[in-house]
Amino acid sequence: MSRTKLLLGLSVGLSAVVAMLAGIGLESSPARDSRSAATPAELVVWDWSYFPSDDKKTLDVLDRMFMKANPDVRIKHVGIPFNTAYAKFRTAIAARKGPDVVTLYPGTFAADYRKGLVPLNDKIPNWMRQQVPMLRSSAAPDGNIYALPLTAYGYVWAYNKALFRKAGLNPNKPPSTWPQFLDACSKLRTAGVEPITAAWKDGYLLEWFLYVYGGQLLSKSEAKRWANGDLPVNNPKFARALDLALSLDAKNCFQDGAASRVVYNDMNDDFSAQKTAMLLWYGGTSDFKKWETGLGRSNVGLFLPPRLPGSPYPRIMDTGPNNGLAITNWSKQQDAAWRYLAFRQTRAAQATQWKLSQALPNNATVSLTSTSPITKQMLGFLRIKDNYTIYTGFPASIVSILDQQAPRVVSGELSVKALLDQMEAAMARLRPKLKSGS
Amino acid sequence: MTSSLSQCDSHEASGLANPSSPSPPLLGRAWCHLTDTLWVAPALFLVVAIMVIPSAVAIGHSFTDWTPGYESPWVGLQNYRDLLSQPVYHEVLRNQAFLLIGLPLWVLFPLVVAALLYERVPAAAVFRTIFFFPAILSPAIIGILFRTLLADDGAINETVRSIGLGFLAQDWLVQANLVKPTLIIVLAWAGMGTGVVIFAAALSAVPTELFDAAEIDGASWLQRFRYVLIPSIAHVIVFWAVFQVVAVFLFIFGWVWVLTRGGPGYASTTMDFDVYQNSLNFGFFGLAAAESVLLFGIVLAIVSVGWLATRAVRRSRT
Repeated sequence: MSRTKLLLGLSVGLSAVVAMLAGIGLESSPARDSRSAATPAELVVWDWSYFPSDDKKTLDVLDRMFMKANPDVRIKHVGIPFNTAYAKFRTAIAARKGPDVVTLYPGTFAADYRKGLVPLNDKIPNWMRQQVPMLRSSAAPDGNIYALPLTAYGYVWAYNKALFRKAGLNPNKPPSTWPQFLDACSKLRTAGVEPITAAWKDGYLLEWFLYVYGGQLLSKSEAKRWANGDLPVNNPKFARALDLALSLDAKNCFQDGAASRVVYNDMNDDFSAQKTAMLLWYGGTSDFKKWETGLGRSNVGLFLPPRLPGSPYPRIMDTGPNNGLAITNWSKQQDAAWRYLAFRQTRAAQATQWKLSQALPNNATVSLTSTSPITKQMLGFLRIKDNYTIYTGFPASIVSILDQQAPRVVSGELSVKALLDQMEAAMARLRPKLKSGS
Repeated sequence: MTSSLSQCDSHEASGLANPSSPSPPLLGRAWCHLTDTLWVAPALFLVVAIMVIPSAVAIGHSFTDWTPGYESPWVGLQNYRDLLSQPVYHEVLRNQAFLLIGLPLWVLFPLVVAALLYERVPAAAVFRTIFFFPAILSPAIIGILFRTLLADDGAINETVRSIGLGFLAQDWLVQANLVKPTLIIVLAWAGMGTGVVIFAAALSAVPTELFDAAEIDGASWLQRFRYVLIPSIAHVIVFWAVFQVVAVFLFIFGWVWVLTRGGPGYASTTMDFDVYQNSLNFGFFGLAAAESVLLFGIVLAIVSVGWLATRAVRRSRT
């Protein structure tokens, strides 16, 4: 019996160890590599817009177009919710296992994940450099492009003409300067209209104000220093941009109850439901249809972010690459992944995306036409020569700090200076690595 | 028939019963220990593989600029210095300390309910089952439920507004001064069922004669609660209190994630949530490792104090 017990114990112990080792062995088995030549290579794409409520239909069409032209590749698009996408990708980088292609904002944002990404500079052909001007704002401080821009965006103010009229404002002459903007806020509030759609709980709106107004205040040379990682986050221009945003709160310009609301999709819903008069929004033109349906096509207009005192730009719209695609450095399908990225930059793919989703293309050769008045307005704004963005200079981790602290900054519990100092302290840890690419 | 099990047991028993009795042969004892060890080997292997080794690795990484899977240069105590000099980390520690204010509530609430069920309520088992129900739901589910109830336009605010007490309606999870007390109350509700079951089990082992005698002597319910019930199960109360404190440090992530995401700002960020933020959101893995080590140290200290307290209670009873 004693021997039986020993053997039983031994076998249980050994079985557990063997089972675990077997499991580990299976993980590292070369099953993925032993694919026969006839089977298409599977390209896994993590995409936070691959959801039925977002761009899934369009992306499916694009994937089919690509697979038709590249029968040796099969695209497996996977929807990753935005609010957990970055954390999930960091764990994938640590494990060196995960998707072949991932959606990331280009520039310094993507560079925050550079350990898991392939620098794309050497792969970019001449036609792409000529046709995709936003590649210029997609480089990280180390000079590498880690994510190719997919589509373009611009931050604009949308407004409800009927509510402007109700407040005694000229609906065909929206504010173009900061004092005019404050005056419009005041008149709207006096007329019982909630002036600006707002939501502070998730912090994105304050982020947008920083991009729109911080960018407006930086000179060209300061903007270049920022993109190269040489300008501190706690610089006076960014502080002023945030202070101006908060001054709107002090003047009661933001809608009531904004503290407990979230940007997606409370803001868009409120504006479309005519609860508020103005909305700061970004992106392509896919939301325009919703506004035109909610407000009536002739009742909605756009205007550029009003010019701030001290801004060196007469007219400017924060414009940059909206989302991007990157290749992971553990991918065994590097060639197929690059072909997919390059395909998404082509005129055919970008034109399809414009046609199906009204996503603004960043391929300059796509001809854009629309019957929508606000879309036409937007296309005009996109041609302003001074347009640029500062957002591609923010690493993902620094943006996360801003998003986290935004509600307290708006409520006055945390000063703008304290917020920017905290962001700069974190940036100081990252800056040397971002600049060296290490 | 004499089995080796009974031989091992008899060796142990004889040793315990009579320390002066001759010890079993050395080889026999070694044999017994070997077989016993083999039985626990799988569990031991798992604990070492999943807990001990990763903990040791995390301690090592806390002294590096850790980038998981890649070169991580040695930085000495820099992560600890950075962490301890951060105002955010000080706030996180304050949050953690604030949550401990809930401890009396988390202990007394289930204790009183268990006492009431023990003495006064017919079909107490049914109530115990009902109270235990939240314990079988994940924090994610209860969190979503409470997030809806506590929203600005949620059921709680709408109810108080509808009865003319609109001034009581608050942004429970959005206002920095309310979010931590709200968390304490939600945790009290969620943990009550488990507490009731544990205290009820402890009470079932207390001789009923003690309560009967106290009642005959004219003790009120409150006096019986204070002078009979609490001393009778003091060791379990201490255990539950220690468990609650440890839980606040180690198991609160799910609640914070679903209810507040640590906000507004860092007003409800706890240490475990901050470890997640620093590592997976911000990418500062070395800093997160240092924070984990400090968290481990704090929990170890609490458990040690709890162990000493439990021992003291047991000694005072004997």
